[in-house]
Amino acid sequence: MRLELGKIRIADVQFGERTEVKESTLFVNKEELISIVLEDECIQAAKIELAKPGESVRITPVKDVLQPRVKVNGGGTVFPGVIGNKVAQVGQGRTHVLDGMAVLTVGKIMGFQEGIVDMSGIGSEYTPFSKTLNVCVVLEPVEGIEPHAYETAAREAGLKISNYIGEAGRNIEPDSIEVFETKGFIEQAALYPELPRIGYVCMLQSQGLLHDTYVYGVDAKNIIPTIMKPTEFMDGAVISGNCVASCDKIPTYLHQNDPIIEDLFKKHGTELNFMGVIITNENVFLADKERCSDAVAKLAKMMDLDGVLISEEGYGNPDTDLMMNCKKVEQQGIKTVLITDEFPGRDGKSESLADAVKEADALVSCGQGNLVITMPPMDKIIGTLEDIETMIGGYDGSLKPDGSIEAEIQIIISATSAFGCNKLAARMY
Amino acid sequence: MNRSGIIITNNPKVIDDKRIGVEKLFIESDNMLSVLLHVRDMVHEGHKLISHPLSGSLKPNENPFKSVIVSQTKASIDFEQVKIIENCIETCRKFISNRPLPRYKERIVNDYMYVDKTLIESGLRN
Amino acid sequence: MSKLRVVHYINNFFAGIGGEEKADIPPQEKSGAIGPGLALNKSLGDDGDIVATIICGDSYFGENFDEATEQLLEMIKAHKPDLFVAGPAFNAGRYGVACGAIAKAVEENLQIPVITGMYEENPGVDMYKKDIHIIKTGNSAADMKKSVSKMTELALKMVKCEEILGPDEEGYHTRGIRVNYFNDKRGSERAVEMILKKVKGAEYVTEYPMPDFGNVTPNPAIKDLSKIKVAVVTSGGIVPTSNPDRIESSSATKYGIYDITGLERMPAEQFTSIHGGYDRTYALEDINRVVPLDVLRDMEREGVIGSLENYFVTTTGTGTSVGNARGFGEEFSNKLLADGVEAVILTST
Repeated sequence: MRLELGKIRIADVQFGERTEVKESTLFVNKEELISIVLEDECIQAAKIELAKPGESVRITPVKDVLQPRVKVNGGGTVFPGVIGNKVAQVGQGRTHVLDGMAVLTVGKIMGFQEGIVDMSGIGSEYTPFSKTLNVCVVLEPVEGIEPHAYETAAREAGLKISNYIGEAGRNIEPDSIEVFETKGFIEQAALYPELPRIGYVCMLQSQGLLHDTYVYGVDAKNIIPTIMKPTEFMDGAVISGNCVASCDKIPTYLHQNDPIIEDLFKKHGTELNFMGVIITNENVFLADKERCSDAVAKLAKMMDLDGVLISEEGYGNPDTDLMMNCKKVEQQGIKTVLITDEFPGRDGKSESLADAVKEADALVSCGQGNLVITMPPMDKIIGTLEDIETMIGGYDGSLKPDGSIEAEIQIIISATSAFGCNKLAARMY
Repeated sequence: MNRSGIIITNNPKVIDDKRIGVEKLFIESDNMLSVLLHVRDMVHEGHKLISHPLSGSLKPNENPFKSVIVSQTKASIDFEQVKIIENCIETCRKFISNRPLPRYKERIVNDYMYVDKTLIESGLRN
Repeated sequence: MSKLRVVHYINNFFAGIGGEEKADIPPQEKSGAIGPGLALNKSLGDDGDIVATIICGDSYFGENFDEATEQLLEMIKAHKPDLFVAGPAFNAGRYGVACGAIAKAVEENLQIPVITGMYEENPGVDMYKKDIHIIKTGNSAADMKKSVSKMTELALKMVKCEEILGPDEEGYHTRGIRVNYFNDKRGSERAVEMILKKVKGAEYVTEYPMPDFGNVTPNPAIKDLSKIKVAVVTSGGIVPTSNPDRIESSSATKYGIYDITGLERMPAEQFTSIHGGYDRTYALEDINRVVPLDVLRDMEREGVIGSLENYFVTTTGTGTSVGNARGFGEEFSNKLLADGVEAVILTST
């Protein structure tokens, strides 16, 4: 499967008469975007705000971050299975990306959920989204709406807006085009017989409300492990319905820009043979965990892999899946490296993971989420500060009178995401 | 697939919801540690864990509510399961000793109850 | 920086008062530096001066943990120190535990920098590494000069509030504390590099070592208990009342083997608990709570077990180094095997 990813560099974003890209500036028509969002009866009102790197702006509570892309050719549409019921397989042909910008959905679903994105100051050092030009869609649900319905509405609003903005890139000549290709297993293996065959086991959050992920529109709770082409992710086949524990959240943007997939492709054909991606979930039931980890090990063996990278989303329950996957894959004679974040308590002294097996002897740490920092006040708030203190990572007294926030970095979107998108790490002192 | 079992919970929303048709055991407590300790005792008696005691990404020092499903029937004790529940208790204690549960306003309490209920429900529905 | 007031803690041996026979001396103090304090003073140079040396016997401390800590704390407080140094204790277990405990108490109560030094096998390391910095030393006083010098270096950094670097740079035992930092490369890149090393069989370093799971694989289960001889081994510190072998109440350096022939239960008049790590009230009321001889005799009579060995093995678990415990086990298991024992009940506390 071969995908040409055409990156259209976006250097600025402004409001304008039409939603279009002109000389590296993205113009968005505010009213058009709002009317798209309000098509959903569950949403009472919406605002569109812009936030740029370096500005004194705080965005909170953030539900999801997405990247506008458009399928130019090759079959299917971006975000298959969720927008307009187009479910065709994706990952080939040509896709254009509005590179350097993101869409953020902002709005409170639950009083305790996530999370913050600061566009400047110390908080901005911890999130990847302080470096993107952000189009923020601030949502207000109708009174008394049931949380499930609101979460769905917020999720769909983000997808629709991203899709709409992505269309603006259809006929623009990209500034760069990268080609990503993986062939069928036998052909792929034969192509680089000397190189180690490496796979990527991608664990998807799937525990319930605010803890869900969707694959071609299917709730990941209901899947059994399966194999996907890495380029399917680039076309939005996997999207996030997840909204708790901001720091290790994998927003849709990171599924589209999976750093593990990117870094494996960088060495593909030279140091390794990137065979494909195995997706699995993180269900609550122990029987499901056993079933899925057995299947992951089986698939890895079927693909004849020499090694896998395993990522996870979330903490606690998922650590058990992570360890089960690791153990069973290693028992098949396949080497593993795990990527995870840690919660060793404020003083850094407790056990970082909720589970452990001795086979997990190669681990990359994305940092510990309990570190407390103080983020300076910001001139502008997009969203509301109302629930900062009950947000995960916040506590009584987190929000200071001057507007600064003292909280665990848990509160910052994707600060420690176990895809390894950041340079944050932890070491033993 | 038929999921029968006993739900051990301190979540009034789970107890009150008649649509959740399995047997329920209510632990009166404002934090999840009491629930986990009771689950541990039952695992020692031979009940099997059906759901993972630390499901959900809401940490024990943020989220007051926990519902865990164990089997109705008892069999011989499974040490792997003992390990799981003991790890969960240790994790829970670690978080609470670092920073205790805050006193939330009612709206937030309701939100936490709601999410805990959906976590257990969504699994039962499958 | 004005000259630091330093208080130094040492034990009976290093104070020149006496060896094991003086391990029961209570807390006392002397002005200025004594023994290793002289080397410490020299190392401090113009930066600091030992104003007082606080001394306590290792056994006294082990058996009066709370009171001794309080007493010593009061004595130390009175000198208004800027810095507190304990030991170094090298491989002396009870001394190491005392150094760790007092250093921790001083830091918590006086909020001044504290430092000590121990050999890696000293049980004090595991017990206190998370609370305080413990410099890595050799396993005997032959390493005094180097140890004192490393301790002083780190101590001065702490006093000056300079950034304390990692264990390898500063020379202290890994504390087990997770600290964030920004690496040059992002996590996914590091992961790809790591898997390539692992797959090639090359060396790699995990960023998070798993907890130590120990390396003892259990033997297969006994098929028929009624046919075998069983023995009791305890780390609960149960010994004959006179403690004839002088097993320590913590950081044990020996174990004992004591006869129980003809006894139906453990009699409180003949045995006692010398374990310093738990409240002994209930054990002293009924020793069978730690060495369940009464139940085992019942089982013998009922044929549940084939027979019970006519001695039991004992030591004190608390603060005892893994190395020592392993050594004891390797030794007495030979005797157990030679005497036909096929299974052991281990009681711990």
